[in-house]
Amino acid sequence: MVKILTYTVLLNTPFNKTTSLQSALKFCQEIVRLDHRAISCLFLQTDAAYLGMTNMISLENQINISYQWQEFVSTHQLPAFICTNSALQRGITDQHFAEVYSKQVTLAPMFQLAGLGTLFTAIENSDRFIQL
Amino acid sequence: MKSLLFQLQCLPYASIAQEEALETILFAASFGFTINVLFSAEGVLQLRASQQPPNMQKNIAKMITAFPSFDVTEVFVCKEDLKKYQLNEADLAIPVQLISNNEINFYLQSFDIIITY
Repeated sequence: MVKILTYTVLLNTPFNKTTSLQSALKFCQEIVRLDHRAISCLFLQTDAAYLGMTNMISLENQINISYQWQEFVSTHQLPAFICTNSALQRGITDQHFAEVYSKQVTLAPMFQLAGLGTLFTAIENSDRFIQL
Repeated sequence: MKSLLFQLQCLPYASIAQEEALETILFAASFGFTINVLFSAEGVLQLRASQQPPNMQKNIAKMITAFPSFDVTEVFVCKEDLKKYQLNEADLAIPVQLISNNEINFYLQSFDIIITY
């Protein structure tokens, strides 16, 4: 049996760079098409954290890149994480932090907040690393 | 463990992402990775010892001076880019090693993982 290559994907692209994010999404879709377990960790950090926000609205005829990423993550049930520090600084909170800081939950349900330890453990344990 | 290189190429204080990048480096170092840092392009300006950060922002040079205490001692700077911003080694917050443009490709090949901010 052929061993599959596992990938850790770090995403730092700001959410307004739509074209870059679409190429990045295509790349990830291709890896997953080859094997649905290939992405062992998708980690969103810095300005890419916005992709994990709910309620992003695109006006008519515009691409909703957050929605495309969120749909991709939930369709394939990927292990998808957002850096906790990046998220909190940008107003993205999960149930726990929403209670701590008395805010509303804004994290899309297919993502989890996680510390950098998650990223570096994944980097150490996967075959390939790519930053998009 | 895998060998890691962090490339820093952005202006200091351009966004909060710069601070996050430095925190990531210190985290990775305390996680046990052997780390190299390469400052190039506008990123060389982060190393200037005399910085006056905008209100309420952490001084990036001060964060960089914490590198040695996290065992981040392999710090490289692109020689040509440093010259472009009229800086020399004496202007920088920590001791660095200079690397020229034509050595960089070969240098990059020696790492398992490269993370760019």
